[in-house]
Amino acid sequence: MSRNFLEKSKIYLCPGKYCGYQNNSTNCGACQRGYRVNTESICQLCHETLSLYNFMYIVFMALLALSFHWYFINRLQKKKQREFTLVKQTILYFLSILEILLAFIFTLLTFPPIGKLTMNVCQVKLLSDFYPMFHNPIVNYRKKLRCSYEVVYPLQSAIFVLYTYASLIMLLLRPLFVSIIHQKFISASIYSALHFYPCLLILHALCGGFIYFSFPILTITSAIFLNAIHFTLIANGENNWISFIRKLCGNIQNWIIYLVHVILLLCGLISLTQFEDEYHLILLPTVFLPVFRDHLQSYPESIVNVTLHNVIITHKQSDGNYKELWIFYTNMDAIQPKFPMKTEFRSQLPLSPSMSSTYTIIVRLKTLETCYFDVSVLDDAIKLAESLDALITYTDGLNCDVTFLFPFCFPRDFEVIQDGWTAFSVESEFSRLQAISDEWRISDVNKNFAICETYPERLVVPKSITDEYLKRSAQFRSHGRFPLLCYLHKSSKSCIIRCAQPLIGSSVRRCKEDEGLVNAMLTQRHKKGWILDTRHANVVKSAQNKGGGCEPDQHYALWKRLHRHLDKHTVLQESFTKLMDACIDQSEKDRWLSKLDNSNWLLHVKEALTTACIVAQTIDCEETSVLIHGSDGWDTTLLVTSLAQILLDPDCRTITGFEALIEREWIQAGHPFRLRCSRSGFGRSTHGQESPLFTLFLDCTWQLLQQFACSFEFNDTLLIELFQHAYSSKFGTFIFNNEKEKLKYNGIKHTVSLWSYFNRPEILHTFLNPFYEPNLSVLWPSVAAQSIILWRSLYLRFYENQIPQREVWDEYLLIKGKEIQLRSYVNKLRQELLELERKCTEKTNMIKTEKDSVVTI
Amino acid sequence: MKFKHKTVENVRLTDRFNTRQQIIGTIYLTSTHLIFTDPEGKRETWILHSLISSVDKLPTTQQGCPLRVRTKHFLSAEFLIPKERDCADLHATLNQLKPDSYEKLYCFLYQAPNYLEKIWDPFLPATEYMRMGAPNQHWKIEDGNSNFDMCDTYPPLIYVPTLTSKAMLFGSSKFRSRGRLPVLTYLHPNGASITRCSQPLSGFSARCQEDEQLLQCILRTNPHSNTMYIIDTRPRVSIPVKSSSLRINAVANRAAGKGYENEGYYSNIQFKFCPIENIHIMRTSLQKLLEVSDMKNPTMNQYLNALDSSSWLQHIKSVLDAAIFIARVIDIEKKNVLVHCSDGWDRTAQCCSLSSLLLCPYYRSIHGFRMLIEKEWLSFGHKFSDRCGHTTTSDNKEQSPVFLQFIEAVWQLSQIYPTAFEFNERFLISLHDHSHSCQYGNFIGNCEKDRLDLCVKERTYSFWNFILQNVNDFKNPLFRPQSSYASEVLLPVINAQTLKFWLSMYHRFDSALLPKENISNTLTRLVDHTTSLSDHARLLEKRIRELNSTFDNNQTTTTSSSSTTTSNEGVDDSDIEKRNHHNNICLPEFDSGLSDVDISQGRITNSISSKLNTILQPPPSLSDVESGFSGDYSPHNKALSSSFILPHQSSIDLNDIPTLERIALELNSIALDWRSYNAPVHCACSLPFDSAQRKYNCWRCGENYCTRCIERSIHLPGLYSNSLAPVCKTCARSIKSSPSFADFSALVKSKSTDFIRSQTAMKLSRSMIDQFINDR
Repeated sequence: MSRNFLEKSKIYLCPGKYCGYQNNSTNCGACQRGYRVNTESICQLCHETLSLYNFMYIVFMALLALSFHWYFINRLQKKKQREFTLVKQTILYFLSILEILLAFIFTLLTFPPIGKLTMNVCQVKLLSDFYPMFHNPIVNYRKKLRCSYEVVYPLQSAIFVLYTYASLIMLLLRPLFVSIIHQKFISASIYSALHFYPCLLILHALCGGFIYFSFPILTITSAIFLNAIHFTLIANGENNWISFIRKLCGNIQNWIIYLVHVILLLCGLISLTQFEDEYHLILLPTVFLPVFRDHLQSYPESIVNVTLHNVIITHKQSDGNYKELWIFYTNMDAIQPKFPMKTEFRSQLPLSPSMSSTYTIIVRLKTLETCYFDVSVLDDAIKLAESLDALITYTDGLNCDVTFLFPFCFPRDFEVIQDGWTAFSVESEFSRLQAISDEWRISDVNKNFAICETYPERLVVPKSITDEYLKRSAQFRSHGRFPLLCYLHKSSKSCIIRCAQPLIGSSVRRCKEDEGLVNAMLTQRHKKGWILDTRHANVVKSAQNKGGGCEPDQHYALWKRLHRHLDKHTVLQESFTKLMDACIDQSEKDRWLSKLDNSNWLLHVKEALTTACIVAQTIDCEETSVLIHGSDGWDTTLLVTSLAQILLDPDCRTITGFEALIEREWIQAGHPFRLRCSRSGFGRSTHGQESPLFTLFLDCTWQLLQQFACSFEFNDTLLIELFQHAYSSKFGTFIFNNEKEKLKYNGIKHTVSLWSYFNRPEILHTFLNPFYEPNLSVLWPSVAAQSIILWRSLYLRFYENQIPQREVWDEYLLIKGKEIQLRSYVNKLRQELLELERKCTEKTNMIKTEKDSVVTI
Repeated sequence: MKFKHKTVENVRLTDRFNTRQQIIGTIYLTSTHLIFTDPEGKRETWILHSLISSVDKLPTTQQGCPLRVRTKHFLSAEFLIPKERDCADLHATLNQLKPDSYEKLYCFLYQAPNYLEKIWDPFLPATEYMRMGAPNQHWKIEDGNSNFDMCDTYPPLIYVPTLTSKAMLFGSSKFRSRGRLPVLTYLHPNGASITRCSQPLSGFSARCQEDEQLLQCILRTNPHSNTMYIIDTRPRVSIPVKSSSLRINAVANRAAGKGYENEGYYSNIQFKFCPIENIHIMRTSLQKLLEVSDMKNPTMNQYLNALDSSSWLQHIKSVLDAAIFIARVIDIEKKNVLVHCSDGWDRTAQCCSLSSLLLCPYYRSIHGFRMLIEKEWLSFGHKFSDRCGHTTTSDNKEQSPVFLQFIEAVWQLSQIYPTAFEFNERFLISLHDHSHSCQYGNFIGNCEKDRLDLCVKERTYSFWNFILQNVNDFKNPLFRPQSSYASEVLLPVINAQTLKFWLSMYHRFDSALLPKENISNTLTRLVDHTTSLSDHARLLEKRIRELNSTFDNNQTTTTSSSSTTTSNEGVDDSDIEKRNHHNNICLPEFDSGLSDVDISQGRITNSISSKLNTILQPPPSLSDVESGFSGDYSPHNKALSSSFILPHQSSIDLNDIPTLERIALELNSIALDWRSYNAPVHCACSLPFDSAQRKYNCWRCGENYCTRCIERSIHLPGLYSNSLAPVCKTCARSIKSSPSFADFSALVKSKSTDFIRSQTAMKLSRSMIDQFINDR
């Protein structure tokens, strides 16, 4: 199975949804009270704090009891109108409120954490959580596993406790009240309460789940409905408006009823806002016995579980064990059902599908794989497709909370040797820099992201420039991205600088500080630097009308300008989509090459490489500095600067160096990964921000790798892995848009860095290139059209047989390993031989001397 | 030949992809080559006259008169000649160079270097058919064509079903175009077979009883199936094009009295059309493809567009599709297949040979591939001279890249299954080049009869001998005989996406375009180094054992051995003899102890020998070669790798006890570390390296050298085998001059038996024929 699925085969998973392993137990069974099973079939303690929705749910149940109280008190008044004065009635009303309130508080205090006005709860995920007894699995159609316990602890038991408390308190308070006022008929309210509490309890036991998921709507509708009924009752027989209003307003009881209804309405509305969570997106949690298949294999009779983060496909292997495949929603790119989704078209389908006919849902993954679900029931298929579609849209939406994503829930399942979050700090880069030149310093000017949100907090700036200058310069640049050093060439000391466009506008503003800052980076004063704008001159002009622009010659006299247009955003995204469309098209007739040509993808690769070569040439041959910017300086700018560094700097061609390059030039430089990677080759854009720039960068790197097969320490596995992790990952490296966001969501604490995973020896060695020989020179690749070729091992890796290629790789390692082994073996032999030789000569000499001595004697 | 030697000076050679880079040098025109050298002699471009496909004079510019020379192996050189007269002269001379008769071909003039001899390892179809299991109860040999009177483009011996009679064959050959009747070309182990023929002269209604009977006989040879396929490799439906004269196809052929089998007359037969376009369309397609590679700095879109419109890759795909279809029918459906096109020597040859290649792992070895070429292309009469345009006598319209397409299809397969083929890209390229170059006699003429008439076997060198002598250059380092792809039927799924543009074929002279660091060369280097190291390690072990034993001996019998182990200076012959003698007495087991098992019994090496066993493969010895060779003829032999190795004589038994000097010499003769191919920019002869060139490491000093600077005929003392090691010229001189080398080489000469593999092969195949005749 392909690697981008998370595979779980080690743990034998419990069958059934609610069966799990308890601590120190190897048998599947029900969890203890206060525990619920997680996705790995292990019982976990309920420790989440009470959410507002859950709170409102308890409040609703309490209010339900209260309304019953009031209803019966009200009936009392109707029976014994004379004796039952308004004062007494009001006291009774408040008494019931007091009872319920006390019961509510006691309930909260009772449940853990004991003594505090809150509860630890388990999240309710599905309606079925309330009814685990209906989900007891039958193992092998023989034995029934009983896994019924309180899954939604303590939401179910809390209500029972609440009602018990309420009735107990009522039995204490009401008789007291009755004994004070000596009116026996009031005790009727106690009897009625003793009748309705059991009814409520039964109602809750049976319909708790339904109430839980529907109470906001219930409240709102009932509030409105009851209010309307109330008004009509009052208005009964009244034809005059004025008398009606007088009757309405005159009675304090009406006021109270009205007030209560408003409160109910509010409660309902508040709960409804809380209902915005994602559970309702899942229409069908489990589909049994569909056929799940991908290009290579099919898994008949698997079980598909739709959970919050992923689709879990459980299938039985040939050896009887169960194996799970996880597909994250963040990895799903598009759902393409092969049947009409809308109801009006459904009539066109045959009513009773024959046994063989199935409804196929094609799921295109961001990692470019395609999966198929063949579901035999149309209704299931539609629900599955709809839930998946809703979940994908939800997880990709701009307003989706980042902490909802899987990396935040992913428990680290390996030992971190080197923490990736701290591996590439500004300080370490700076110490490298200082070995070359001492004209730079680290500045804290961006503390708390004060002047630029997309830069890291600590930055390397020229020594001669004060923080004040930087602040002024930042105001002059788009998004505050002022010129920043990104590479200093060892031999020529010329540097690559990146920034965002200057905000010169149509009035051609100028900023002396910015000019000073830029000029300070020109290490060799006598030379002119180059400003490379990654936009076409016409684009710059239109940007100028919107307030942006490019550095005017008259103010930046030391710099020359160059325009190299690199496409981005929609154009690039479309190109990628077309490319993948061409790649997955297996039909005979369509002309593959013309489709490839149409996609323009290779053209983009060629352009990016050419631009990087120009930069490298300027730095290395002309020995002048280059300042690169596009419009925002976080897309194409980074593409060019990072590629140029790979060409120039041999360190970037090692694994650690490449990781550092990505960390420095992409992550810390604020490439908005979450926006750019929310769609890959198949999905339709939702917000126009998607763009496969990072993919383009990896592709260009691959082109270099295949032209210079021995100069890179890593192989294309690393690049493919990076591609996959950029689009869908369980690690936190690529899920934030910038450093500030990472800090805001506390990403360092809650998620694991990809580099921590990559830098483990067993992973690292799969990335090693056996032919690596450090090449200290600058790479000059061929950028002719014939030399730019399609990256098959990425784009076609699921559509072509990869086994021979893997065999080739094994053979590479074998040949290389054999050579190294033999060489050390020969060395050893040689030493042994020399040793023997020495001994031999000693011996012969000894014999000789003996002989000689004999002769002399 | 009227020819005068010519020299033109001050010529600029412009690089196709880098117009700024120009080399100024001199053109020399010799009787066989066009040579361009730059003044320092750094770079030389040799163009064989017979490879030149076109010489064009381009419009004169200020700097001079450009002359573009294009060759059949896709070199395109543009010379800028200062004087127009020189240019016109050169143009005229070069254009007259094409030989007008077979007798003037280069192969009859070519003098090969010493190591090549005019030995033709004869291809005997009988051995090849015997390997496949024919003749058997269903198939027999028919010698009716021994005087080429049945069909002049077929070999003398043909294989037909046992049930046929001579009359039936003659009748069928009359009915088939050019007498090319259905004959057996491949027999699969499961009984299914491929037969090939040409189109029937059916017209609209003609029928031939004998032909129908013959097909029924073929059908009956396969016990597994009661139907068979006839595959017509022509497109069925005619496409109305303006130049319709070029688009001849099955339907159009009908009007001309030819056509395809009438389905009504042949029972139990399925017809299938596998559309492959004809030679004329292929020729234009190649021309377009070459225009693509001629473009100067095309944009990505231009390039892809042009590549697409040439539809070269689509044609390759259609050839591959047809072959895969045949392979599928044979292997899965177990049905017989009859393949034909118009004349049965272009598309039929492509399809039959490719499907055999897919079906039988034997054909994926170098030796097997040779057999495939000999059988399908040479003996069944692919018109090499006409298709490659060897002489002026052949029509230009007859030229077509049919063989190139086959070569490229094989390359595409080798890209899909890199571990399945014993040969490498270089082998395919050189096969293609030499089919055009006429340097060797193999590809001269249009059929077997032509070659017999020209006596090529007596007068020319054999290409296969050349391959054999340099076999290490043509071996695929990734070849893994035990892999399932190398030992089973290949049934790839070919999509349009699968096929790649063969950069290193069509752009092999444009080093600017090729990858700068070449993995396949590096791999070859690694494999060579491993061989050298393992040989050396074996020698070292032997030495250690010997020294040890002498050492032990010294300890035990000090007095007796004291006379033999003398000082390390002044070793004379008598001493060596004494030692030999001594060694023979004391250590008999080590003389025979050549295998690893015996080595592992050695006392000292016990600790490391276990490791060694995993590293070293058993040394290829004479017996291996022999057994492997004869074993090749059985269809299910998995040990294919040993079939085509160099004459590996049994390792010399150097029984003498080594002197220290000798050991020093041995240690000195092997470099432990080899210089990487990526580091040096120039060879020692100041030839600039580029990535595509084959580079060699000197086995002694480990440095890199170009082909010119490497000598191959040295036995290195440090190797425990007497294979010839590539050594650079300086090292060769220093080794030869060293005094103890003389002893060594004398020893080698005296002990090694003169073994030429080809002779054994001849002997073997002869004996097989004898045996076969006896059987009959």
